[in-house]
This record gives sequence, structure tokens and C-alpha cells, in this order.
Amino acid sequence: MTTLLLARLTVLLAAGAQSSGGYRIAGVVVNAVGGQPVAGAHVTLAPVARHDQQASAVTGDDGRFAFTGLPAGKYELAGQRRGLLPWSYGQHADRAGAIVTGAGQDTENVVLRLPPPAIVSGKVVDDAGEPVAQALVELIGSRIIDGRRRLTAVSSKRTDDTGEYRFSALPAGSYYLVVSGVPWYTKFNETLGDSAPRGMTHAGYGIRYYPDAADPGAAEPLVLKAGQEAAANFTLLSVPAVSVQVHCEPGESLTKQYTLTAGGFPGNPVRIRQGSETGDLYNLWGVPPGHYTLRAEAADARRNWYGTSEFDVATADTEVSVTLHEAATLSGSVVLEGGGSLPPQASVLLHDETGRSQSLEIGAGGRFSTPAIPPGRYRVSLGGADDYYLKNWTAEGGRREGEMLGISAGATVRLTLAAARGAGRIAGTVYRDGRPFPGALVVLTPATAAIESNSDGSYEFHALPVGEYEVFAVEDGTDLEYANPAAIRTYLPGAKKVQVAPGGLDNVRLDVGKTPVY
Amino acid sequence: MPLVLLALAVALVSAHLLADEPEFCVGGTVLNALTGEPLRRAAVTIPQSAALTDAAGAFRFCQLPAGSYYANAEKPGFVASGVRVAVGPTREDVVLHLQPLGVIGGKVANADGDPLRNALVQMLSIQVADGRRKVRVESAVASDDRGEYRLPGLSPGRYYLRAAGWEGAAPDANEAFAPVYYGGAAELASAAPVMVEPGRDLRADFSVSLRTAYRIRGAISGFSPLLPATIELLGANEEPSAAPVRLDTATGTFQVDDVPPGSYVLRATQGEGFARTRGELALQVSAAVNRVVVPLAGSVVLRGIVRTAADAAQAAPSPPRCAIKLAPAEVWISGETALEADTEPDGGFEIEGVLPGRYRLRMDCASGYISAIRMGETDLLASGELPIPPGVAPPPIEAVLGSDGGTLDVTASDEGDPGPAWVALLPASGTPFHTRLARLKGKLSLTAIAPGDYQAYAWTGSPEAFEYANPEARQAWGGRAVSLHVGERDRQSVSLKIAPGETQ
Repeated sequence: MTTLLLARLTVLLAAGAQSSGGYRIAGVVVNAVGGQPVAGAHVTLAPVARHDQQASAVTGDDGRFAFTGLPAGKYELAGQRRGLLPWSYGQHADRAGAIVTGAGQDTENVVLRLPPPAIVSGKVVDDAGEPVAQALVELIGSRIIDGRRRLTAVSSKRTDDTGEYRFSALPAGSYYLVVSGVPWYTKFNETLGDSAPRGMTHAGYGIRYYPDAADPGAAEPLVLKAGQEAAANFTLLSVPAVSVQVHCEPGESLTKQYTLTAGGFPGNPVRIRQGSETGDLYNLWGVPPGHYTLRAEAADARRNWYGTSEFDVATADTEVSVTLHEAATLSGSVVLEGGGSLPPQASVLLHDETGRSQSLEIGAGGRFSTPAIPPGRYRVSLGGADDYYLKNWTAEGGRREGEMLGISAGATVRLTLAAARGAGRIAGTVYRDGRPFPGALVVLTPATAAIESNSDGSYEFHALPVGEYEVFAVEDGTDLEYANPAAIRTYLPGAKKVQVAPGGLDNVRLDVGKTPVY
Repeated sequence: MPLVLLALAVALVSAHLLADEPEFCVGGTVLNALTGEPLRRAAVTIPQSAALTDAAGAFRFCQLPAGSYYANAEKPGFVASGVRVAVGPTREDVVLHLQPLGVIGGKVANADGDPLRNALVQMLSIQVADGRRKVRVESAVASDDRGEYRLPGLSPGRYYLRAAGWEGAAPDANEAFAPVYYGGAAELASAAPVMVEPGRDLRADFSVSLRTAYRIRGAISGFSPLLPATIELLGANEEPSAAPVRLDTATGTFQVDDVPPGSYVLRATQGEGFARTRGELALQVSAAVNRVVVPLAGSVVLRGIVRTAADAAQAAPSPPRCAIKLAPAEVWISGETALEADTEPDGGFEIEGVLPGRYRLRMDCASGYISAIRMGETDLLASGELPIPPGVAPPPIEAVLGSDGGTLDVTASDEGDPGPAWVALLPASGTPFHTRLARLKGKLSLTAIAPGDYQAYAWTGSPEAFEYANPEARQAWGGRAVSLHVGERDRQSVSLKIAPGETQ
């Protein structure tokens, strides 16, 4: 099986690269903690950005693997094994460097480190020490995304009948945990109404943040190392709470998915309740006083619907209404500077704030459209067009908020994108102590792009607008907010100032380990 | 003197008040029926009021007028339970015992003891409908990264446990294991049941053998974008497979990952109500399967007519009145409901929305027995099974109603249980159309019985206690049967000994 795949890979590469083959990428898969060889790992190799030409192998008892007959080029290597996290060679966060084959390159002793997963588990009890079943435990990751530290929802779990929850298969990193729940006996609200004591039907649990805080300001991150198993137990305190009756328009027979959010971190409210209901009413019990946002979503055979309502809960039962609007429609066109058209695989990408993105195909005349886009804030970029960059954009029917496009439910948005071919290029090698250094973070500003240096220390930024840049390398840039001017200030005195003209610059040497730290 | 009068007046007033609105309290405790421990934060409800028990399991309601109250207690993890309490005087001694629910938990591991995550563990129950076994998936859960699963809140009873799953370690060369029942059986028929008892944590571990698994890729033809659609992969005996299915609802292309080698049926269903369409495709998986096409076909209308047989004794036969039920023949309960219709005054009937597949037909007629029934060239009398092929309207069903049936007067014999019972009259011919099931409360008359040999059974409890359409179950119950012959227009009596129904 492996031999067959290799043979196929070789043929494809030879045809593509017009190069005489014969290079090898060989090495060992090890556990990133402890360094033991990993037998039976599944390893894949593909030329950079050509995943259709993927070859695969399984490591032997000594953890070793080998791919042979490879043309000179850049390759992405990745591995996975039960009980370990899938990981790529040179991977830091979501970036990975490539393995470079060719004359004079040593690719015989590649070490692919698979990190063991971190785990968080624990138990949620109430103030009487009784387990709270069905409590919602949210795991929020604090990660560098597009050069800024951002909070993103990683996963959520409900506690089981013993109040226990467990998150497994987590990469090392910083996490926040938020727990919310409803006392089970508040359900008597529905059958008994006001005849039951308020302490029973009008009770709630206050939101708790790790380690043991009621206030997000007092929350602390849980920092997990690879392979670490952490325990995080919570006690939910009973507080007086109210019922909220939601009226949704149009009710019809649409099945609505409701999400109630509150509190949480700036820009990252905590999802504390989820449910679905058909019909125009939705009842929430055990809602403690606070400020809330309720989102409703629905879909029929042809359309998507969205609605949002913000409200405050005090000490009295509350009624709120949510109006569903059809999803916004978005269309537009890409205008290429100097005429011509983008490559056929090019697309317009709309990234929402949770890290998901929607890809819109670019058709004839540079036009693109989508009949349904949820309301929210989006970042616009170009995909599948490596040599091009987005110069500017304007939107009609949407709000421009800095770099973000705000879209309201029911809106008709027209986007005009100005793209240009990036003629500029900066390439070079990162050194440390006079030797090429792989795995460094190479940062380019003001484009604020960052890449990982390859196995031979090489790096390359392409499709850049011509202009002036600064470029520098950091030995371990995993936690560097490279798009934050304050965070990179200490590196700028050691940065190379470069003037990129059409055609670009080669051989820009960068050194790590010489950065002055203030 | 005036003092005495005043005292008397006060006494009269207070007696009057008491007689007018006497108020009482009802109080007691909620206990774990198994351990006798008090249960805190149990919810006790009486009409128009509710309370939570305190740390000692105690509750109390006051200001109640005299009367009879139903007090009910519940708490997660326990079976709710209540008692009727007569209040007036005050009662402080009410004890509510809550039976704890059972839990099944365990680990799924491969032969080397490595835990398998994301394995699907299902708890199944067996139900009997129309004398046949049906399998219902009561609950399902996925194993975690330690291979552990937990199924809490189980009512005591007899269940089966089934694990199925895959190993998602490698996207191209996946491994999976074929569904296996707890104890190691590959099929439900040979699986051993698990008895769930109140308050007991039952441990059920699975050791499974991973095998290379394959991917099935294909498309649904006749697909309408955006309409709800499902793809199911069914294994041997129509057991639903655990392989993960992905369907692109824009294009109708699908992919089923991690399919262990074996024989399967792919079933696609789209739309709602009478507008539903369905297609099935049988396939053998021993390598990756690409470009399969499942063609969708619309539902058809099943038409038929019931005629009363020419009868010399009657000048004008009464028009047939039949209730017709078409139920899916599959063993695993899938949410497909039976389709029903009644005959029109002329004996004709129509059942709309029949998707292709295998069905069982039942006809219960007030005025006679089914003496012959066919669909085109196919005689349905022996089995009652009906194949509906895709895309073509089936030939009409023609049934003949015999009016020379016999009558059987059934009574409960003095020995055995005298209580209400179920009576089954099973024909020696085996035809489901002549099978009769009825409720016996002391005395019962069954009319319009097809002439022939029968065995009669009677048992207490639910009609589900006896899987009478299964020859093995009939053999096991053989000693309880009374054999009898029903002749044309014959009337006879039989006395049946009622057997306890719940023991098998």
C-alpha cells in the first residue's frame, strides 16, 4: 500500500517539477514529552500546498519512517497516532515550516514530535454538595490568531448524572473555564407556576469562572502543558432567579435554536443556555439577574433566519421578544488592478469572529455572491490566490468597522474588492550562531504576516505590495502577538529594514538570539 | 355572671371559626427505597403546592383543608413515586420511598487493551408488537478518551448492550469494528441480556477487534437540494451501522467512513409526508466503494378491494368493513409509523404515501375473515408480507371475506389466575390474517373465525409478554396451549387456564 502510494507520488512530482528524483525524507516519530519512539504512527507527506499529492506511511516498532524517490522541493510532514495529538513537522500553533529537500540538505534525521493531549476534568456540585447534572461547562482557548491573542470557544460539555465533565485531546495552551447551570427543580415552574415556593421555581446558579470566581475579571487562565491532566471542580451557588418568556416572531412552524449568552470576557460572552423550540414561545427558568443576549436561528427549506434580543433581568419575571429576519444576502465583485482576472481557484473568504470562515467562489467578471449570510462581523480576505492581495474594499448595505464588515439580519450587502498582483517578494534564511535555524517565527511588518522558517532555515514572503517593510525573526514565537505594535516593539531595533521593489529581494539574512530585550 | 357570659361567647366564636375552616398539615420524609437513607432536595408535590426536602429528607405542607391528597416525590436518578394521604387530622408520618435507577458503565478497548474513543454504545430493549420482536434503541452514548462510557438513569429491566465504532487515527487507513453485543455475540439473536437492577452500577466492558475499514462514496439520484434528507447504512438483519455518514444537502453526494467489511444496504430518504422519496441499494464492502448511486423513488398509493364471498345462505351479503394496517417489516424500530386505512362502503381502500420497502399487512374485518388475499400474482395469505418495489404502482390487493366463520366463547378456567388476561388464537396454517388477539375479562366471544385448527393461549399482564408470531416462543409456551378445531358456522366454548405472562 505504502509502496504504491509512493510510486504514484514520485510520478506526479516528476511530471510536475521536471526534476530528477532521488531525495529522501526519513526520520522518527517520537512522543513530544519524553521522546520515546512512537510505533504504528500514520505519517503523511505532501508537497507544500499540494495535498492532492499526499503519500503516507506507518512507522515501524522503532518509530522510524522513510519516503524515497522525492524530487527537490518543499514538503509538509504530518503524523498521527491513537492517544497523541495529530501534529505537523515544525508546527507552532497553527503555523508549520516545511522540510526542504535538495542538494546538500540533510533530511535523513527528521524528528516529528507528536504531543500527548492535555485533559481537563472535574466535578460540578451545588452549595449542598449535590452533583449538578447537565451543567454547561465551556472551555475557551486563549490563542494567537492572526497575530493577536484572542479568546475562542474550543468546546463545551454537559456534566453527567454525577456532575462530572471531561475535555480530552487538548493541545497545550491557556484556557478559561466557565460553568453555568439551572437547578433541576426549577422545571416545576411549568407545571405548578406560582403555587410552588419561589425558592424552588425561582432559583438559579450564578455563573462560575475558573478557578473559583463569580466575576470574569477575577477569572484566571488554566495553563496546560502537553500531556497534563488537570482537575477543575466547581461549586455553583444558588441565587434568586426569574423566568423569562420569549416570544419569537414569526412563530410559524419553524424550529428555533436559541442561545442565551451573558457575562464572559470582552467581546466573548459566555454561552450559558442553549435550547430549541418549535412555536412562538420559549421559556427559560432559573435566570439569575444580569444582562443577557438571546440569539435565535431557524431554517426552512429555502431560507435561514436570525434574530437577536438584548435584555436585563432584575428580580421580576420578564417577557422578551425576538424578531427573526431572513439572512442577509451578499454579492459583489473583485476588480483587479491593471485588468485581467484572478486564477480560477480564487475565492472570497469571510471570517467570522468565532474563527469560522465562508468561502465564496469568484465567477465570471470577478462576481461572487451568497444568498444567506448570518448577521455578524466579518473579516474579508482573498483565498486561493497566492500571488494577489486585497488592496482595499468598500461595502454598501453593510457597516465598515475598521477592518471588519458588520452585517445586519435582512440586509442586502454589495461588496467591492480591489485586488492587486503582489509583485514584491522577500526571501532569505534565518541563522542562529552562524547556522541555518528552522522553526523560527519570521515577522513582516506593516503587512503583519508571520511564517515559520523551514528545515533549512529558509523563509519566503511573496505577493507583497511594493513598499518599505521591517522583517525580523524570533526563536520561539509561539506566544508572540506579532500584529500588536506594543508586543513587537522590543524586536524592531534588531529588525532589517527592507525596500521591496517589483521582483523582490532574495537572501535577506536574519539572526535570532541577538534581539535586545528591554 | 357577665364574666361567664363573655367566656362562653369567646368559646362559641372560636368553635365556630374552627368548624368553618379547619386546617391541617401533612409532613413526612423521602427515603432511598434501597438503602433507607433520607433524600435531600427531593421535590415533593401535592395538588397546588410543592416543596424541597431538607437535609434530613423531611417535607411539610400546612394550611390544608381536610381531604385526600396525592403526594408525589421525585429526584434525578430515582423513579418518581407517590401515595394518597387522608388529611384531617394532621399527618406527620408520610414516608415516600424512591427506587434508585440503575447505571451501566464500562470500557471499550481493543484486543491489546488500548482504550477506543468515540465508540458508540447503545442500550437496546426488545418490544413485542403484533406478536413479533422489535428492537428499540433506548439510549446511546460515545466512549471518551479513556474508552469509558456511562448510561445513567436506567429503569430496571432486561436490556441488550451493543458497541460499534471506529478508530479515527488515520484518515486513509481507518480501522473499525463490526457491531458486537455485550458478551461477544455478533448478533442480537445470540446475545445475552443485561439485567438492570435498581440502584446498581453494572459494569460492562467490551473487548473488540479492529479491522481495516473502508469508505463508501456516492450520490443520491433524483435528489432535491435543500429538502431534508437522510442516508442510513444498514448491516445484517437491518441493524443500523455505526459508521459516520456525511451528506451534502446541496448536491446529494455522500460519504460513509469507517465501514467494516460486510453486506450492507444503503437507504436514502428525502422530503416529508406524502412527498417523501426513498431508495435502497444493497452492496458488499471489501474495499473502498466509489461512485455508488442510490436512486430515489416516490411513494405510491396502495389500492385494494375487499369482497364478501358469494354465500348461498345470505341473499345480500353485508358490505365488508375492515381496518387495514400496513407496517414496516423491519425489526429495528426506526420511527417509521404504520399506515392505516378503512374500507369504503364498496369495499375499496387506498393507502397513500407508501415508500418502497418490505411491509406487513393486517386486516381486521367486522363481518368476516380473510379467506383469500393476493396482490396481482402474489398470494399474501400465508405470510402477510408485502414487497413494494421502487417506482412502480403495485397491483391492487384483492381480498375475499368469508362469512362462514365460527364463533368461540372463551372463559377463564377455575384454576390459574382469574384476573384480566390476553387471549391469542393462533392458526395451525400460520397465516397472520387468521391470528386473533383479544382481551379476556371473565368471558369473551370471538366471532368470524376462519375455519381450521388453532391453538389458544391466555396470559396475564401485557400483550407483549408473548412473542406469539415466533415459532420458538410458541414452542416454549406449548404446554399452555389448548388445541381446538373451528368448523364452518360452528359455535363452541373453551375454558382457558390463564398463565402468568411475565415469566418466560
